[in-house]
Amino acid sequence: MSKNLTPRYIVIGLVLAWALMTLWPSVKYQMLSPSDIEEMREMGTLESLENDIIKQGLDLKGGIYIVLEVDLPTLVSTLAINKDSKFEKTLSDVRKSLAENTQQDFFTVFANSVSTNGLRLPRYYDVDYGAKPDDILASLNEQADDAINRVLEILQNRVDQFGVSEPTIQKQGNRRIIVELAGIQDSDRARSLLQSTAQLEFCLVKSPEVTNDILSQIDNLVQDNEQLESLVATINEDYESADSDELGVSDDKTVSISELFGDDAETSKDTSDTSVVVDQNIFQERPFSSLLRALGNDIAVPEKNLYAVKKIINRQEILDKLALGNGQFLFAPSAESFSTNDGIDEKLVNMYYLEKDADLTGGVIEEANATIGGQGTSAVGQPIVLLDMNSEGARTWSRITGANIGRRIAIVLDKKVHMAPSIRTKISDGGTMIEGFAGMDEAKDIAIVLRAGALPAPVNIIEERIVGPSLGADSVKRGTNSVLLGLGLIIVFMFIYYKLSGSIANFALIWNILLVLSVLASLGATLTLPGIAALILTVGMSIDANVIIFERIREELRKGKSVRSAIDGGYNRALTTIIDANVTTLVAALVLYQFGTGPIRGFATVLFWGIIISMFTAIFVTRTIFNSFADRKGLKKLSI
Amino acid sequence: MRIIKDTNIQFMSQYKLGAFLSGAVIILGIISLILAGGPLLSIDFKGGTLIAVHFEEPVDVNEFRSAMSNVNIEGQSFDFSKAEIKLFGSPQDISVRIPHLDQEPENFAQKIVSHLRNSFSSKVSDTDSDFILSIEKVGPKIGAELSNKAILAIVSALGLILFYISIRFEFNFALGAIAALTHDVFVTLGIFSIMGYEISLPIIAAFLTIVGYSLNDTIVIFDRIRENIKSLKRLSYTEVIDKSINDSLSRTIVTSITTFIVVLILWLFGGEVINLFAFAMMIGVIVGTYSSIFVACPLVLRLHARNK
Repeated sequence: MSKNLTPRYIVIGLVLAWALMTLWPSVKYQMLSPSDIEEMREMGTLESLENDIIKQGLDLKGGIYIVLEVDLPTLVSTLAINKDSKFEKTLSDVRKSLAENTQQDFFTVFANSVSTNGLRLPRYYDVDYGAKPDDILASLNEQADDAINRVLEILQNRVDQFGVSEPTIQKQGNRRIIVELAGIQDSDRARSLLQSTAQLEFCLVKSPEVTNDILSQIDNLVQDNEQLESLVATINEDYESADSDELGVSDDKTVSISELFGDDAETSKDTSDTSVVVDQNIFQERPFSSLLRALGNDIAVPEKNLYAVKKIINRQEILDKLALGNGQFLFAPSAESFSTNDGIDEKLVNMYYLEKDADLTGGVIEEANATIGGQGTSAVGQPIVLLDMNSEGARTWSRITGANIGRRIAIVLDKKVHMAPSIRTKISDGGTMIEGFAGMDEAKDIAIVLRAGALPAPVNIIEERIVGPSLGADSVKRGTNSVLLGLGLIIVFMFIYYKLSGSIANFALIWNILLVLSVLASLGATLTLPGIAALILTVGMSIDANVIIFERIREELRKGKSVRSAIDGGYNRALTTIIDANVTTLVAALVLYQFGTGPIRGFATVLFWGIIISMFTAIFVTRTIFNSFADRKGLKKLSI
Repeated sequence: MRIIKDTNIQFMSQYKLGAFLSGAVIILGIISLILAGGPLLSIDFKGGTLIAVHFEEPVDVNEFRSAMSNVNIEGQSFDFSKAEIKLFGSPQDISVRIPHLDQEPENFAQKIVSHLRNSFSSKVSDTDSDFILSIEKVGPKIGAELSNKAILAIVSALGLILFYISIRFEFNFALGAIAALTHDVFVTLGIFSIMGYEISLPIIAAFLTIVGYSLNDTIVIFDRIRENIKSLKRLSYTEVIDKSINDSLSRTIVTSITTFIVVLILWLFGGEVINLFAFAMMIGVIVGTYSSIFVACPLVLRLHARNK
């Protein structure tokens, strides 16, 4: 009967040693103080340690989870040439159909819509895309794949620069990217950096004269439209009353056109206005302009007026007006605080009137770096951005810069104007220097924006989850405490109910948890809150396996069998039960893993390994221990 | 120590009681589901924005509601006072859930957070990381996809399980097991609807865990039946099933108690995020244990009688 148990103990010992070794870095990391961590970061040893520890999910550590999707209709439209109303109609049909049923594949819908509208694809796409419609669709599909891969690369590049310790950026399916930034504090900056993955364009800023002209045209149009005028009037009232209530300023805040362009404005017709500023009149004559502010050479919109301004400039009659002048109004990405003459801080968003068509798109940029201006340049010691373009871009750039010296050109990403530097000289080789940044951070952000330019389609955020660090910390603390408490109660219960055998089960339980954690650590898996829940379920499974075995052994003992044969009989009979029961749960875990995203996947991973390990523990580890009890000569009674 | 001595309870003769009990709970649940117009789905499936914030001192939910009645975003004002606003685990934490808007301003959630910061400036920590507990924003497209995936997951899990049990046991047993776990999911879903709790992604995970647990429990009894049919040929099918349930009763009780203890503690102390998950599991443990005996076994018995 007695088998040599030594090999079994060696296996158990080796597994235990492996588990402890794998878990050691996590324990070590937990014991580090923040200053130790900082020190290790400086020494560069932190990363290797972080690679070996159990990663905590966003729900435990706090952080941002974002799902991005490439805007395919825009991609297809950007790549097309000779676009006409038929093409636009087809695309808008596709957009409508996709909005109604979100589960459809874009290219299937597009192909259907192309055939129902009788659209001849070769008309709209260069021969490079193929001669037959099917070839064109296939190439567009390739372009879409390529676009998502570029976004992926750019995001990786960008997020690395952002300095998050363990960013996860992965592709989900063919069209989506999941970005996870754990432990990040400044969610706004991260978000805007991620989101600004889109089209980069250089658009010339229209001259002040042209801008003034369009503003007064809009003023006239607004005056002719009672609805709009009343909207503007209420906003101005709100604005003034809010100001006087909150800030104790009762003065009229409307501005004249001359104020709008400050003293620098070299327009003759406006200087005449300055002399006869009567705010009341200005408001009546220039209802639209009265919503705006002058900011040096720029126009700005107080954040409170932004909605009204956008609403006005998106009216069809105004859009028509803008189209006539081939212009567009675009805004800065965010509001900034400025002190007005009265010394009051006001949040303003810059607004620009630009040429409608981009003079150059971001695809031509090969390199963009933020650095400090060297000796002999005009920006010694100041942060600057250096750009390089490919030969095609450099040619266009040379023509644009040559023809527009003194004018400003806006750097537009995602229809947001990030800055609008003036063109000093003709740049013939593409090598461009941008100066005038408030600080190195701003220069770096602009360089990143410039590098992102090579994307033919914008990217939309379709899912976003932010967990604040305090909720994360709270979850960890409570989760850990309840696991420990539950564990403690089970251990006590098992000991009372099954005595010595119960202690063996308890040993198995703790070993089980250690082993699951070390598997997680070595797989580089992430522990999430549902993961902790799965760990608890694993505890249940592990206990259940032992309970099944113990009850069987008790039954065998009640039948009057010897300890040895009761153990053998109990284990053999329990084995099929345990396997059948666990395999079915394993099936559930695998399906969950397959279907799951983020947190659910974490749950499934822990459950999967938990079941496998608990089967191993119940069948192999505790069996070995029981056998060595049974092998003792003269053992008449089993403590169970 | 033994809780359960040798028992000889005739479970199968009590199947009517079981059928009545299960039927009553399920019908109540279905009525509640119909009244509510289907299960209460979280933003994971419907799309929308969920914001949870922490205040330095307790804030009245009604005060919070009135602050949400006029939210000014870029000059456009929104009334969110009808949004779902509730305490988030403690009197200092409040969550608000806003359905998806057709034309959502950019950085919508962030702007609501700054509106709240301004409205309660004296009760809010200066740093965002202490103020924002969580922000979840799910687009309607993702939401629809997630519900499809969840249904797909449950159906494929059931299919695979049916297949596995048919191979290891008989087809009748597979049907019994599936009936039991469908019963469990429906009961839990019904109780969630009656309590007004919403189904989120983690709750789907809990449902699948319940499915796993219920199966585990059912199969332990089936395993006994399979074994006893071979060894106790002179007993009737009903007697074999009763004896098998009694044989494994001790294990059933011990396992249910230990598992229940763990999820109970998780429910009591696990914190807001995991609370509903633990609640679903608690119901699952009770119902899963019950359904193995009173749903799965009677059905196997019926199917067996019909096949003869």
